[in-house]
Amino acid sequence: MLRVAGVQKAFGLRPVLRDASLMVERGEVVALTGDNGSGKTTLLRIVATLLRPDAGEVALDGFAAADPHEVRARLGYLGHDPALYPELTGRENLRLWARLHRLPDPAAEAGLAQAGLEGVADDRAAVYSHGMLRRLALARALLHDPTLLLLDEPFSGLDAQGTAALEAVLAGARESGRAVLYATHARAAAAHADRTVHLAGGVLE
Amino acid sequence: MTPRANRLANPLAALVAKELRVELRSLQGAVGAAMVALFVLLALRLTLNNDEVDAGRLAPGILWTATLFAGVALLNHTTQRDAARGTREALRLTPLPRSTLYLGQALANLLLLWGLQLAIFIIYILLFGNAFGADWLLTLAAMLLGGAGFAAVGTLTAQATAALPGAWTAATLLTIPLVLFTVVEASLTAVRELLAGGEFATALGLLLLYDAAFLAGGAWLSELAD
Repeated sequence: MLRVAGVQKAFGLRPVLRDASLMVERGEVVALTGDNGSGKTTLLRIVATLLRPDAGEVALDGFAAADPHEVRARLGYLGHDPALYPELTGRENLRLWARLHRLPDPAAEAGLAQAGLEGVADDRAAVYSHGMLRRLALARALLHDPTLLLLDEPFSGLDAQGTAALEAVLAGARESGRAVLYATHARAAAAHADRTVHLAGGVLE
Repeated sequence: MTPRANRLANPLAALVAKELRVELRSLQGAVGAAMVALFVLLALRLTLNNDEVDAGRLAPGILWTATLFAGVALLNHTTQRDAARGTREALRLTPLPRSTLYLGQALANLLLLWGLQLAIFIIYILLFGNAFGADWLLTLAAMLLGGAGFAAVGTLTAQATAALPGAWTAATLLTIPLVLFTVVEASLTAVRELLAGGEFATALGLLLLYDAAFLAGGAWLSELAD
């Protein structure tokens, strides 16, 4: 499923990842813990093809980073920021991403329903609360039914409804065979995972 | 359009429609750029006598001066807005080729730039009078043709520098020299020849060539950067 082998990454002279190796299987929810600045986001961004490692290999479903389109088609990513268009409505935001993934509009409607945002679907995202934006962004990450979901600090700033929605996504992932790798600095948040890997000194423990 | 062509065109159309919708609802880039153009034209109106604004001599240069400064502001704003709010990264996570992302942004920028060029043309006529006579439509067409190459280069440089500190300045410093001696020069020559009653087809042909080369080059370089 996801194979990370001997990944190294430095920013300037500062090494962030020294020899990071990791396997995540289908239906497995893995928490990636570590202190602030330990390289969790860097590792997620390398898996997501947003950063190139200095050394090492990453492969998803057998596709290496040399096939970025294949990898991107199979992963959903939710970063620190929701990265949505505040001028567009929730529905327009999801329909945009549906079209970029060549999916029909009903896929966006299903995403809105899953996020519990049907009632505000025609409101501009600019008026959404932080929690609503996170739910909309999560719906976008799941829109194309990815085999791997990457989440960066997913529980941060979520209200009760958002936390419940995220827990449902994690539970659903186990049932559907989707793998989830999420980064968190909060040990308590790691309790939602099947397994925890800790990143310290650029090495996964 | 065949079903296959329709499937390919859909994401491109979605990107263009998104960009236009975002800009038309916020007007952040368009209004700012139009104000820059107005100030440039007002400054030139205050410093030049009407007698000096000979249609064939200064008018095309005045139009392109306003277009360059205001256009760079517009192209930088729309392109770098995506980087600032993280949506550029979200777009890069879709399985679309980088060239499609580039072309979507460039085409949307071109449509917005054409709107700006039209506004500049109207403001020019209001401030300086119609120096183009019956050839105003052809003059405008030559300006708009130049806009295509300008949008292609401006989008590419803005995307390439978006992650750098001082992205706005870097993109401006790259864009202006690249277009000044190519599309702007060809467009100026075409308009001058047109207004002087000379042969302008060669300059227009060269302008089209620059437009096509910059657009194709931008798409190619975007793919290389992946």
